[in-house]
Amino acid sequence: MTRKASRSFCHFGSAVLIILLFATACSSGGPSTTLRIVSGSENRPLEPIIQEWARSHNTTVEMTYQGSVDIARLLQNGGASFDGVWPANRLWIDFGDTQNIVRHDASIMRSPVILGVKRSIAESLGWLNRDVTLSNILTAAESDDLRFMMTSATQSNSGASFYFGALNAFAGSPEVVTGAHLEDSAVTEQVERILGEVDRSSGSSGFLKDLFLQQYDRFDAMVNYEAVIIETNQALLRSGREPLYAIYPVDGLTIADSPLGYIDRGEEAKEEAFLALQQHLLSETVQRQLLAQGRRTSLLGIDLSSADRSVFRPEWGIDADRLLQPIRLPSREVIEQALNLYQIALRRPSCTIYVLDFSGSMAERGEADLKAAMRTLLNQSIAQQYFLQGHPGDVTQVILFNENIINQNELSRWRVVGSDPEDLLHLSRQIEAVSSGGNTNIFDSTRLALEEMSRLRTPECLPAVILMTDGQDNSGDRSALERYVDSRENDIPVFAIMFGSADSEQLDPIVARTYGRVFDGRSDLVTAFREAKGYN
Amino acid sequence: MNNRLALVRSLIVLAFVVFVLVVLLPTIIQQVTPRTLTTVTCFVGSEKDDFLKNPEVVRLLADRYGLEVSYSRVGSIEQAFIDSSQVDCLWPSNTSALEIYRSQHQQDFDSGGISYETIFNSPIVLFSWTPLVQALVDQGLFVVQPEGYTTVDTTRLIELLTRTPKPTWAEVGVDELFGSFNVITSDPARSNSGNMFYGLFANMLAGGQVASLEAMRENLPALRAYYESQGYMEESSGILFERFVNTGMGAHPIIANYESLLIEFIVQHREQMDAVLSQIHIIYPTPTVWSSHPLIARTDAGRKLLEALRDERLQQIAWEQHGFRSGLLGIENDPSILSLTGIPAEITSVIPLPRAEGIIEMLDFLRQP
Repeated sequence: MTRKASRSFCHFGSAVLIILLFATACSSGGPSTTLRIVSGSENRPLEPIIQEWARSHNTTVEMTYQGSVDIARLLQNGGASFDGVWPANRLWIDFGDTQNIVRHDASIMRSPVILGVKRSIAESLGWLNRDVTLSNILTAAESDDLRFMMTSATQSNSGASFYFGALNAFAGSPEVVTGAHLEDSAVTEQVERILGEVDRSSGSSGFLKDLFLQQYDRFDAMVNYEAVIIETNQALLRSGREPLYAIYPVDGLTIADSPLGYIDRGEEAKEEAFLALQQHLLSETVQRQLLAQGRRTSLLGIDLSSADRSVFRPEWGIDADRLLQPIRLPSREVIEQALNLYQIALRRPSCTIYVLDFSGSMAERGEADLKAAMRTLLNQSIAQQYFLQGHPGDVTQVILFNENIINQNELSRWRVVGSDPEDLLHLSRQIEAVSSGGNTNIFDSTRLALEEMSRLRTPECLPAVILMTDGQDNSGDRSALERYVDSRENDIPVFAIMFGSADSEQLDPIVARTYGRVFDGRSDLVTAFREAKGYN
Repeated sequence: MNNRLALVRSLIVLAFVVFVLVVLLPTIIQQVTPRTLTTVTCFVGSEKDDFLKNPEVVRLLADRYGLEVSYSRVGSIEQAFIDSSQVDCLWPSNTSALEIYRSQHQQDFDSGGISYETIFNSPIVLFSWTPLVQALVDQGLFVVQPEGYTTVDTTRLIELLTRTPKPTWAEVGVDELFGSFNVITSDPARSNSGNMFYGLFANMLAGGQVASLEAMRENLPALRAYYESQGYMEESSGILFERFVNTGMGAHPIIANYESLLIEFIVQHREQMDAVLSQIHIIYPTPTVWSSHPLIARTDAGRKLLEALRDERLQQIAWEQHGFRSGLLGIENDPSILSLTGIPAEITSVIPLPRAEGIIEMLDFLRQP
């Protein structure tokens, strides 16, 4: 063969090779896919695992964190623009998926909902290494030996789980809780008592953990996933503080199973990407990683025989050999009734002061959205769709501001005591009639709200200030607000809802100082209001 | 020297090109211009999803029969009620669906326009955990047969489930668990396996015979009492099985479900087979009911699929990888191929389900507020 011939063969060969490479590239690569997944906040610490996968798979994964009820509601409405759902419990997919759009759902990991109690407190209560019932917890809380936090049962799965557990326990551990139990005052009275001992609520399990760490000295215990209690303990150890001891209430235990499901809209590329991600999370390597992060991932049962004892520590009350026997959840109808009953009767009432921005920049869209958001919360038939109805013990106050307090001289006219639907609707109508104008004074109006709260609040209620603004303070006194907060007991969280050109640098210090939270309402004000209300 | 090197190089390139032409090109060409396949559209119950997605099944249907199946997952009973005029076939997982469908299309069935055949079978069984099974064997409720599989007398089982109040776990000899003895099913109003267990339940209440409509009516309160004691029930057989496996004995002591699910699970986790088999057991109710999978062919394309599914290799894959026993005469399902213990070669004690009208009346009664 001549050199020329061999070279042309070479050329031909490389041409074929290039074509082949090109063909392979086309079939396996292609344009990048975006997966949008809405998940429970307890999965936030797992996001690095997901993003690492995304980077190596030419895929963008956008994670959004919401409460279980919001995830269920979102599914009922067609799943918005999400491609995947990852609530803490399969129950919420079943509840929400009335249109049958969720496919391929598979449990990624398990975690029981437990009570984490500071070890010394658990010890003084005699709870180490023994079976603890809901009754024991009630007694301890009522004798002021136990100050505990839990999330809202109507917003978050861990709160709902503990609530179902309490219903089961105080109904005397029947085969299953039925509608009759919900009508039995002997049962509901005790459930109301234990819920009345909740010292701080929240709309999400992840935030509850942050709050517990921030206000460590104010609380003794929290209801959360075993996995989150383990994370909390790891943080406590790092800062040299006493860890929590895991109590698995024997008559009120539930297990979260974290199913990841795909919202099917007939897009093949997305489905393929989703299944690849799910397969990755279920792979042996990642399952071992998850186990190392305190999630239970054994193939069979929920045993911990292969778990690392430096994560699942026996001295934290995590007994690998314990047989976990959760309660049977009530039927779907009874669950729905129970959630409504929680909201309107059994939970601790809320004392809420809304501080609403009616400055000039709110005109047009902002004002309309704000009014719609307040309508959602105050109109009881809309509020019910989100389990946000009022309780007879609620106190609701609205403060309107621009550079001044617009309704300063008639605050009582902007207040509703109780949950009469007509009164609340009337308040909503009053808000509808306000029009915006003027500058923005966030600091002074927030201080007024905190002052007002100390007059309005009842011993029973959980207080919160919900501040909504679209701008930057240009006339208020920030240090006066800070001095005020520091001079009081400071147990009134400020939940700030950002809108328009609101400045998180101004809002962050207020919420941090009062152990509140910022909600971003810039893309969806109504949802932000709902979420903020869910924290109260 | 140089020349020789060039020659060697050319030969390598030549070999590569030949390799490309002979080995890869046909596949590439095939991918670019696949041969025309007949698409069969079908309603299929979700339990056959994995079988129809199995790459070997897809390949065999295409290569041997020129077929590809395009299906929507539809619940068995629902298949009988929704508009099927646009599909070639229906493939539910029980005979009630067939019965309902036939009653609506009797003429087409009589004229041969619609034909059907039971392709697969899977018995309803109980799944449970070793400590519990041992305790119940000791108590004599579960019986280990000489062949090595475990059975339960269905009449006795149902008697325990209908006793008021139900016996506690401790009373039936299981000390590890508190609360009442129970068998958990998927939601009978939404899922086929749950529905079938209730059918079996009704037969036992009718004295161990196929429950007539009268017998069914008479026993509705007992069925409803059992139903109401269950609380939340999973919407599908697959989900119930998943939760059984991964939440353990405390959450799901005993469930009723398809035999095929455990076989499929073991095939998917071959490397952990011993661990699975040492913890999870199948208990065969005597008698039990068949979940039959009749393929109802409405068109020529549907009939081609029906014909194709008789393929011995496909039937073998169905058993060995997905746990479906053959519904066809003359095909045997050898459990030794699976190298699993505790699975009988044949299910001999089977009772037919109550008639569809009885099942429908039962569902209406259970769903009443």
